[in-house]
Amino acid sequence: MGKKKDFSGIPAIDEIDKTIHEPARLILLSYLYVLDSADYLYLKNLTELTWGNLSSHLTKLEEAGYVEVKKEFVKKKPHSMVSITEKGKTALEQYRIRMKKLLKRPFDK
Amino acid sequence: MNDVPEDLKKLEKKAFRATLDDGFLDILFGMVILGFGLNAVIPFKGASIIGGSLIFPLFWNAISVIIFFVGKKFISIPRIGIVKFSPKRRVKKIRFKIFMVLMLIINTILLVIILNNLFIIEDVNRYIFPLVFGLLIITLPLSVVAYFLDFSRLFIIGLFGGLGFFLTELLYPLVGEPLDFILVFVSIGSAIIMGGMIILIKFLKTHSLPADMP
Repeated sequence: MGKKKDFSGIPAIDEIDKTIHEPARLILLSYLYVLDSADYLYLKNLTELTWGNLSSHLTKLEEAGYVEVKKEFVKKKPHSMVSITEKGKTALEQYRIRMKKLLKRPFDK
Repeated sequence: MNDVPEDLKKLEKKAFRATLDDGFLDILFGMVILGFGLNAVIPFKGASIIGGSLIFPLFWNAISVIIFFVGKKFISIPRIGIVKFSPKRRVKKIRFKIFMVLMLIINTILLVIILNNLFIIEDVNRYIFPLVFGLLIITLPLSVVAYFLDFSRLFIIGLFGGLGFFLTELLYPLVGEPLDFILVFVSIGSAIIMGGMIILIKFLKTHSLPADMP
């Protein structure tokens, strides 16, 4: 179990970043990649996640260091703005490359 | 954004489009076009013809812009949330705002010119001139904005707005002045506002005010 399987040059599935691989987190990180920052409400509307799901996925992404949540004050009220970190950008780019390689190979003749 | 893959660019467009799905931009353009028709009805005659004709368009356009910004601030943003776009998109938004201000100024000048018959070319066909004029002054710039904002409804608004002058010329022999202007621009403006209102009602139904958020 400890030894990684050999996929003949294909990156092992173990190498796929599971934090990003989850669809809700992938879509969240993808949106944040193209936006400067957004609040929870905007992300909720875009992704159509529930408050609970959105919060738990953002917490996981924050724990991985892929996003950062900044408290800002809008009209004297605390407001959380979420943005992607450099680590998050790099992780998403690597994930895309790995997934492309992984999915492309079986269809190559 | 040039190095961003196409599928992610689509996501960015979708995120931006979400800010336009409240109908307020439709209502703004509808009100501006409606102003063309109302200006022919409401007599605001001041000391001079130009001065008198300027009062209503300035007042009307200012009201339209205020409704747009108040609606965005107090109805849309509390429902869709706050987003900051990439610097490139922010530059586009600033350009768009400048363009909108220019459009309103041109629109005001245009009303003064038309209502005072200051610019009449006798030799040009009476149908061709308003057609080309409307398409160049209204349809073309709105189409450019529609393309860059990826906001397809604006193509239709621009097309109808641009055809308005041509339609008034068609109606003129039948109903005379100022009924030709009133019928065409009030109809087009009201239709666009109605469309915007329907989009706004749909938006309000699908985007309720959040009770509490993190």
